[in-house]
Parts: sequence; structure tokens; C-alpha cells
Amino acid sequence: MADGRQEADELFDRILLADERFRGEGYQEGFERGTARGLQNGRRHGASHGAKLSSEISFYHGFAVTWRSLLEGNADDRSRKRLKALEALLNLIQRSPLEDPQSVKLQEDMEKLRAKFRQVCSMLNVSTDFKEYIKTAEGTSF
Amino acid sequence: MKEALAEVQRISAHPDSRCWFVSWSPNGALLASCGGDKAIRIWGREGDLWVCKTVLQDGHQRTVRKVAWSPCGNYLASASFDATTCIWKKKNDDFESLTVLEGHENEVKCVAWAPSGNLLATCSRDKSVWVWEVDEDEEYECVTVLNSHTQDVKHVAWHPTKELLASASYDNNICIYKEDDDDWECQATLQGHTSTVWSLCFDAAGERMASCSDDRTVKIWKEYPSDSGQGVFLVDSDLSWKCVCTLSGYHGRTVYDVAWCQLTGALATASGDDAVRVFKEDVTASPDEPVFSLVAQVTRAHNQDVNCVSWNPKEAGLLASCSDNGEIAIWRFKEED
Amino acid sequence: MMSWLKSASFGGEDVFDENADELHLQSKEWTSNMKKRIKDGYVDGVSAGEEASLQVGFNQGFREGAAQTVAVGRLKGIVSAVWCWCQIQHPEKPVPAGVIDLLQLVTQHEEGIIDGIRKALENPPPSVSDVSESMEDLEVKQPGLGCGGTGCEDTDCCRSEQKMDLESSHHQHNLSSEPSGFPSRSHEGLDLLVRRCMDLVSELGLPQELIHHIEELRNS
Repeated sequence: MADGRQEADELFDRILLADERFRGEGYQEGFERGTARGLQNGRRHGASHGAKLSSEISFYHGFAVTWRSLLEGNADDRSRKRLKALEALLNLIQRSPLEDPQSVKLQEDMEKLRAKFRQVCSMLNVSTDFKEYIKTAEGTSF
Repeated sequence: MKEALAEVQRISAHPDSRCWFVSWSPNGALLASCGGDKAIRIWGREGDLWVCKTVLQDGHQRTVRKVAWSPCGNYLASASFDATTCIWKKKNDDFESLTVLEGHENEVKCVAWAPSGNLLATCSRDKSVWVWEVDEDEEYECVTVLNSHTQDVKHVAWHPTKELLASASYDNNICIYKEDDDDWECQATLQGHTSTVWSLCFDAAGERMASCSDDRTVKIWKEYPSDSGQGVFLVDSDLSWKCVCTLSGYHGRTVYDVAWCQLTGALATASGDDAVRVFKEDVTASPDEPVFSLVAQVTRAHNQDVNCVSWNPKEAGLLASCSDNGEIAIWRFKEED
Repeated sequence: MMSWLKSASFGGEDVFDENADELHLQSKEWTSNMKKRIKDGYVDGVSAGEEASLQVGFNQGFREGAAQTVAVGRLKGIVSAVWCWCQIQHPEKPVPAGVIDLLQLVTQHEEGIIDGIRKALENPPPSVSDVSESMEDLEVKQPGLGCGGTGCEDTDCCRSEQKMDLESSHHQHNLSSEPSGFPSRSHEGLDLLVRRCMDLVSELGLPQELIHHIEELRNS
């Protein structure tokens, strides 16, 4: 009787074990599939966001570099102030943490960058219809 | 109550429209008002009465929300829902449009001159605060765009002596800005109001600030050096502001404006419950726990929302208020001696 | 549970004929229960795996996507600034057609890149299959309890285990060997626009330094 019970217990354990093992095998398989899927989905969403944000920042860069070239050499007060603002904008662009999309400062830095760009536009007397044109770049958010 | 608010005059200033704001010139001789009729009116005293001296029209395409006098009194700035800020120059008894500041994406809600007169701040529904610099040639150039608020910015006010700027927003917060290392930075974000902060002002010394809100309260904030151990709102700043007093239970609706008299220290409020109220500070209370009590009120100061209150800077106790019904009212606050 | 116990206790032992049918039924039930176990585990595994990898994928994609718009974004900024400059320098004259055309082309090129990335987002490649589809690959045939997970010869449970191993390594292979996965716009197109921009800037007599900046965008 005692032997019978022991046998039954053993069997029971083996069944539980099998139960766990099959579940575990399914889990492992699923985990790998899920990982692959998560990587793919994340990657695609990330790519879309990265492309838009980089396009915006790169736009500011090209814009600032061009204006710096155009104004350099002008010694008047106004040009000096404009050049200073352009340098400040380029500094912010250099510091923008595009390498780390998880950076908590990304949003904050982008706001600073957009603010500086607006200031630069105002200082350069960039016409309103032009701003309308670049609206798409300016309005990019994530 | 020993104190009282006596009506001096009532003017239909912006008929069939809202009167949004009134502002006394630095010498107290002129009062500028603005409204939904896109106009700015300048009022001067003739005998015992205030009369319209001039009307500035054609400057704006939409509502003029606020007006501000330069510290020298020779310029007037107007902020409009048409997204621009106009600078007007006084010429004899008239004003001419000097320049138009563009840059905000939409409605400009407020404009304020720094005490030096060299800087001007504007704020907008576009969530940004701009600081403009004025040069000798009367040219205005934007020196910074600040995006510290997450919503519509309702009001900006300068510290009376330092180049320190405060802004109030629909995001329930107050931001304090300072020029730091050649650029302007938000130095502190003051949290405490539970709804839109509509206005704020400093006391004469600049040690305290009063703010008013849609949460029906007025809060008094005091400046503390951050190492004083008095409770700090933001680290990484050399000073901070702590709420030392909240006036609640007095206002039945939104408090739209608060004005601290630079001469007497009396605090006036404008509210959506149509009332104008005056509070006085208990001089015996600790400066860290100030006590303000209601000393005068006119419950039906106007028959619609009161949008603004303003103390005359030279004549103690002379108060102007304006309302959604287009009226301006002039009051005299009398204290028993 | 009792029926599994019975079937399990008879597994690999002599069985009376009259029990055969019942045993067959029990065996079928066992199989279906184990299938269910695998499926439950699989579903949990998928969501856990997805959750664990989503951010990693996002970060990777973010950098990849960002890299694709740097050159075209800068070029757009440059042409836009030139556009402004022309307008401010000569408010009486219209902006030269060459500047307007180029700005339009650069904008279109950039939109093409971003659209390409967005399209890839909308139509994920077939390598990512859904649960029900892949569940067909998972087969549990026999109740073979014998191995208990510790190296038996060729019972079905271990075979299915092997099969899963194969599959998962296949997936991993798929993932790592897959090229960028996003249609990248031809560098040729951008180089052409860069060259046009350089020509335009020299034509307008703008500073040499600016031409150097534009040149840097070639083959980048």
C-alpha cells in the first residue's frame, strides 16, 4: 500500500513535470517569436520616428550653416548678434541626443532646439510664408 | 469695515465689446485701455473726470488683449490675438505705430517691459515666452524663445528691480526665468495652483509675488535662497520661491487679475464673480507666514466678469478696473486713519 | 488528471487488449492537454518576448531611420536658407526658379525616403507570422513520458523539442541576416541634387565655404 502510494506520487510528479516542461517549451518558442516580432515592430516604428526627427534637426543644421556662411565677415552689430544666435543653434544641434532615443532629455532638448530656431528665424526676418513652408518640419513631434 | 472702495467714475470705454485690460502710465497721468474692438484708448484727467484723449486704431486685426507702458512712459506696447505685438511711440499728445513684432504663431496674450526699458517680454497661446531687446535705434530683436510651459501662456511680469521674468500659464504653473550664461533659462517652475494661473505680480521690493487662478485662490510666493532650508521647488537654482500664503474662500469664481499696490502694499483682485476686492497684510504676522485679510469689496463692481485691476503708481488708493461689459471703473480705496 | 494518470501509468507497459480503446482515447486527451500547455506557454512567451524586445528594436530602428534623412534634411535646410536669402536680398525680384525647383525636388526626395519607411511600417515582411499560423508547426504526437526531460533516445517529445530548437535558431538566423529591411533611396538621386545645389550656389555667387558644406553631403 505504501509502495503503491509512492508509485502514484512519483507518477504524479512526472506528470506535473511534463506539464511544466511542455508549457516551458511553448514559452521558450513563443518568447523567441515574440522577441523577433518585437524587434521588427519596434525597429519599424523607431525608424519612422528617427527619420522624422533627424530630418527636422538636419534641416536646422543646413539652415544654420548656410546663414553662418552668408553672414560671416559682416562686422556690424546686427550681424554679430545673428551669428551668435546661429552658433547657439548649431551648439544645440551638436548636443541633440539623436544617438539615444530613450534619453529623458530628448523631448526637452528638442523643445529648446525648436525655440532657438524660432528665435533665429525672427532675428533673420525670415518671412512668414517661408515659415508656412517649413511648418511640416517645425511641427514634427514624437 | 473701516476701509472702503468708493466709485469715482464709470466709463463705457469699449462699447459693445469687452474691455480686457487697463494700464496706468508710469507717472500716473494716463490710463490705457484695450479691448475686443481692436482699439486702444488713452484716458487723461480733466478736472475730476477721466476722458478719452486718443484712440489707437488700425494697429491690430483682432482683439487687443493687453497693453503695457515702457518705464520711461514714451512707448506703449500692445499684445493682440492677431499674433503681433505693436510698439507705439508717444509724439506730443498722440501715438504713432513704431514697429510690429512678429514671431508668435498665434494669439499674443501679454506684453511687459523690463524695469530697464531695454527688454520686452511677450507670451502666447503658442506656449512660448519671447524676450525682445531694444537697441538705441529703436530696433527690436528677439533674444530668446522660451518653451517651458506645456500650454497657453496667459501672463508675463518682470521683477521690479532685477532682470527676472515670471510667466503664468494654462498648465497651472508659474515659470521664473533668468539670463544665465548668455542665454535665458527657466530657473524655477512653481507648482501649487490647481487650475489656470491667469495673472501674477511682484510686490514693490520684489521679494514676493502674488498669483491668481481659475482655482479661485490667490497665492503669495516668497523668494528664498535655495540653501535656506525653507523648502525648495527646484534644485540647481540659486534661489527659489515658496508659497507662503493662500487666499481661498473669498472668490466665488475665477480670479482673473491681481495687483499689488507699490505705494500701500494693498492687494486688489478682479474676479469672474463680478467683484473687486482689496486685501491688506497683517503687519504683525511673521514674514514666513503672512496673513492677508479682506478689507474692502464691491460685490457688483461690474455687471459682468472683472478682467483687470490696476493701482495708480503715483496716487495712493486710486484703482482702475475693467470688465467684459466694456466698462472701466475708477475707484478710491480709503483707509481709516 | 485521473485519466492522464492512468494513461501515463500504462505508458510503455503491457496493456490488456480490452483497455486499448480507452487508452487510445486517454492518450488523445493527454496529447491535446499537452498541446494546450504548449500553446499557453507559447502565447505567454510571445508577449513576454515582444515586451522585452520592443524598445531594443525601436532604438535600433531609430538610429537607422535617423541616418537615412541626415543628408537630405541638411540639403533641404541649405536650399531653404538660400531661398530666404534671395528673398531678403532682393525683395523686389521673385526668388530664382532654379532655387524654387531645387527646393521642391529635395522636398520630394525626402518625402520619398520617409514614405518608404512608413510603407515598410504598414506592410511588415511575412517573416513575422502570427500565433495561429506558427502553432501548426508545433506537434505533440505521443504521451511519451519516459525521458522526463533528461536525454532519452527518440521519443516524440524530444523530437518535437529538437524541432522547436531548429525553428528558433532558424528565426534567429532570419533576424540577424536580414538586411536593413527599409527601402533606401538611391544615393545617386541625392548626389544629383547635391551637385545641382553646388552649381546653383556658385551661380548665385554665394560664399565658397557654403559650397564646401554642400560638398560634404556627397556620398554621405
